[in-house]
Amino acid sequence: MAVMDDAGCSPANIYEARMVRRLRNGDREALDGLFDLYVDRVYGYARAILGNREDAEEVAAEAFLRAFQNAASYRSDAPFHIWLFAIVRNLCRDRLRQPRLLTWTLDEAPVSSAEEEERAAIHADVRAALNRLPREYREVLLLCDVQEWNAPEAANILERSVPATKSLLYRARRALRAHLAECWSEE
Amino acid sequence: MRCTEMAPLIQLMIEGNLPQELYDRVQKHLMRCPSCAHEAYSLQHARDVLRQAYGKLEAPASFRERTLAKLYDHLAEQIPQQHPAAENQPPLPNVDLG
Repeated sequence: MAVMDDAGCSPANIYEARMVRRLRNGDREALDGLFDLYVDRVYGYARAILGNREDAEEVAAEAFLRAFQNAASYRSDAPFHIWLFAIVRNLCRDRLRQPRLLTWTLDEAPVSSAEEEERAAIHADVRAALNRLPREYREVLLLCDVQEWNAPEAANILERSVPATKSLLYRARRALRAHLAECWSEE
Repeated sequence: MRCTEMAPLIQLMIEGNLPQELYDRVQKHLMRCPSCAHEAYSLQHARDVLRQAYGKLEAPASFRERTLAKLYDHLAEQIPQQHPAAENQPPLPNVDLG
């Protein structure tokens, strides 16, 4: 696993570490705080990777349960959220290995105008392009470009070095661009 | 600034992590070099549309309620038994979070 740099000592991470220690002592407010801090990102990542609400909810709930169940024994130098997201990532991988009956799509919001319809079509193209990429490309793009984790944080979640993560991200962006260019040049 | 130096700088630029002085130098190069400009702006565009396509997904309220209820149950069942001497731990330092 990559070593955290100064990002590990940020005020947000110090606050998080304090919440985790309070959680170990059974503090319900700390549980609320940690949950609120990450629930949208955990759910959003799972939803983007898995493509549907039901699987995303199950994986996100299981990730929080596992992370909070083991918070008492968590002693890594890495911030708690890195561990939480590594759990999410692994649960998503497990879920994707299971036989699937559901279609691989993100639920579409209803559209009410030509402009919205066009935007929805573009978003569908982008999601289709992302889903054509190798799994590790999808993961790093969602972590860094959608969820805005920085390279050291993404490196820890992905269990890669920081240079390897930056290189992966560079290749992933180029691959996404190539798929989009191919898709849109056909129209 | 040479084209061979641009790849990592373009990555930093589209992430918004270039210091101003370096950003200005990169922009000057992009104005003079169509090849690097295409590389930079097409990658920026791909990143932008990806962010728009996924946006900020919020967890549904029903999911929040169900999951929090499970977590509260877990907290009530396990944490006090696991850490009966928690009150003896040293206090946390006060940190100014700005």
